[in-house]
Amino acid sequence: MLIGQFRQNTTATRCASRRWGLRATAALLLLVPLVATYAGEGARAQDEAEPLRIAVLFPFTGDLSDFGQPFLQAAELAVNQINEAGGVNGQPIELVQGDSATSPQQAVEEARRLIELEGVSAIVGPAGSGETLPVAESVTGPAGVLEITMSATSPALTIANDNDFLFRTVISDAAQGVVMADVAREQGFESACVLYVNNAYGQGLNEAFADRFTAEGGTITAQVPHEQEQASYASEIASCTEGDPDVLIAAAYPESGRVFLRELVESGDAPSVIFSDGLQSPDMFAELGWEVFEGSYGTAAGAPETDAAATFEQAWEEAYGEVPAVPYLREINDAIYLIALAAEQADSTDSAAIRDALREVANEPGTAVGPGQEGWQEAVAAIDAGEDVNYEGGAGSVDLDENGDVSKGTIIVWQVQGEAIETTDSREIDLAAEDTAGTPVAGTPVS
Amino acid sequence: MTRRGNLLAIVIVALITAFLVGLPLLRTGSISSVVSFLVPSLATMAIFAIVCIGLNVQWGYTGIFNFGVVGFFMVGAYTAAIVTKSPADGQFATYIGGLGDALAAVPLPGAGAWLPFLVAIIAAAALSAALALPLAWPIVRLREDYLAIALIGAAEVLRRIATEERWLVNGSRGLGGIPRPLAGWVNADAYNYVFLLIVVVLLLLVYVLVDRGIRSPWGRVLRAIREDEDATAAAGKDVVAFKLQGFVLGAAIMGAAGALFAFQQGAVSPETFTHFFGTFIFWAMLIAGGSGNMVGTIVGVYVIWGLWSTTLQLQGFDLPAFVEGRIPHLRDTLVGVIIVVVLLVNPRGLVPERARVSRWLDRRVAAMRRSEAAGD
Repeated sequence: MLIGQFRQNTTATRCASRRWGLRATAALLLLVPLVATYAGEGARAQDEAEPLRIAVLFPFTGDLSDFGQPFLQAAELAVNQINEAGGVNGQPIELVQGDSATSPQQAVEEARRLIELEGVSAIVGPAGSGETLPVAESVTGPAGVLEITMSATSPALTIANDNDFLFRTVISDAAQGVVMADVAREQGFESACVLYVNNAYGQGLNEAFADRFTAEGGTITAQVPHEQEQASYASEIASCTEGDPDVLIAAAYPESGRVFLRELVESGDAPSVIFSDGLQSPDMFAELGWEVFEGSYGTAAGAPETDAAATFEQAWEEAYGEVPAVPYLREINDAIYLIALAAEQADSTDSAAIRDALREVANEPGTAVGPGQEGWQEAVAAIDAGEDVNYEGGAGSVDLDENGDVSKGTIIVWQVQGEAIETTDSREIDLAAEDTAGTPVAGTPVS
Repeated sequence: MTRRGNLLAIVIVALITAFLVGLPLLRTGSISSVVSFLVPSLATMAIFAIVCIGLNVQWGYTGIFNFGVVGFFMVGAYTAAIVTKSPADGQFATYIGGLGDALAAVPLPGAGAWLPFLVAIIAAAALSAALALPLAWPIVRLREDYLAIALIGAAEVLRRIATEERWLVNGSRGLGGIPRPLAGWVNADAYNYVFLLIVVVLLLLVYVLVDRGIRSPWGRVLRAIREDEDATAAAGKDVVAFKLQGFVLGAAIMGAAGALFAFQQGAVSPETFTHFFGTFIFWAMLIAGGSGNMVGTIVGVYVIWGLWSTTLQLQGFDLPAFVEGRIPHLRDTLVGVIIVVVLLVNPRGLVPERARVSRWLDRRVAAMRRSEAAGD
């Protein structure tokens, strides 16, 4: 067999391989300290005339690859608007792409490339909490480069060892779990089973849902974790439907959802399903058949009904057509605007200076400014006039607390109607207030 | 054959070096940026080289087909995390251990900067070895195909334990905030250079120890077992005991490498330790480089990881959209192509194992040839 072949062929080999190998290693080792002296010249000089370079580190491949392209469009939309309205510090923004591949190791490699080779001042992304944590702790934190994630919602990021360079424009998973529980109770469901993806995202949602649902008088029949990208989820489905729950809460990603939702439907007496934002994928529903899930509800971090949200939607429609039912587009848009505003305020492309100005432009007090070309021109005029600005984004007011988190957000409720995902409701939620009101919300960042 | 193989090795290493240095240089035009980019990459390579040396002990010298590398690598990483971190506060994370503060309080000069990390690396190697021992007991008696399957299973079980058991290592949320060795002593800007130095020193240490071990009579028994178990047993050697030793030593080395990986990443989660990343890549490195040869192992790491990380840099260049969208797939293909080319041209790897029993014997043969030549 194949294994044996590597070992055959033991003809004597008299070669210089060893000698050149040693030489190469020695040369390599010598090269490092030698060239390192050049590095002593210091960090890249940040010239004021330099254009602001922002990187996106999105999942173009891997488990979350469905979201990569729409994410990129959202970032490009904001960059184009700002550039058409005059750019940052009089220079157009340059957008650089990186592929996190939904893999922590690759996200780290890519973040390093974006910082060292592309010389970006800020990174938007990566998508998952499992990628964001190592990137913040081993790359952006030590290097002092601003990182804003639009979708990593794990509570552990609140206390990440990030030198205060990690921010997020998205509210904690707990918020969505709370609204999922509310929706389930409003629909009259008495018992629920949670089928959640076994990572930080799924765990956070599961805990928040279970706490809220039981507090509201519901019963949890089972909480079943599942792994991503399995060939079958038959046993997970079985342990979830065993207790005969009224509703199945699916907190997962499309790649796995495609498989287990099909198995659920084929198993016969399937309960109703409520979906998390990870499953808000039109492609997935098209593949499974829209009619099967007609009327089912889902939640997602969503847009409040504000002028800023309307501006975003209008701009998207003009640029690309209908706004797809993909989560976090507004959060990406807001992240780009925040970075640009902070750079304008700081009058610099230096990452630390941008970070220092970030809370000033995101939080009260100040003139409220929003996204869009006009919004940008107003904001620049206000900053030039020496006024404080307070950015109110398409995803919410994006006020950043001392940990770099947002606690106020909007969760939308969506429904499968015909062959489309329609938003039916939009709820304001303040996790800080939830805590003080005595509602136990597990894993909520203390802010 | 040999000459062709060597030429191929030199060409490929030169090509990879050209890419590794050339692409970043082309992109930035600044040597200091290239250096600060390459230094962490070299540290990653050194860590992977340690893993591959562990695998080389198991496969290259002992002939144990370990397809569960990721399990030992992961155990090492997690051990390092829970040894060096402060105790869990229970708010965002629950895990056992958390000895960092206790070790830093030991009355030794500057203990906080080095002691927890030294203990962590030793503990990682020890725990990995301790885990390998009971696994190996039944497993080394299996034929190599069954053994591979058993070890894939074992690694998957370990990964599932790390994912499910929140009290142990915080489950799927993983562990963040892993401290870095000697971080208190050096300037943050210079840290990457110091870390590279630490891993290179450890790589050399492992290299020398394993190299010595393999050249010793003990190592010759391992290689004899690899070639023919029955003949070795007939020569009066306890085959099972030797295989066990080879397997456990390899696992300990992988565990130590896992500890270094945890320090470099600063955060570990079960998502990182997939079979693809944690096992396949290391096998690709060993096979391409040449199993049974220490230099070959390191060349394999350099070539495969160099290719892996340089293809990503193509994204920074203006390429036709047709190519741009396919870069990640291009990379997988290139790694496959390299392995196939190496196996076709020189099935024993870029730098194959040298067929010799001992260098003393080599010297005797050389001396005899010389005297023969003089006699002519």
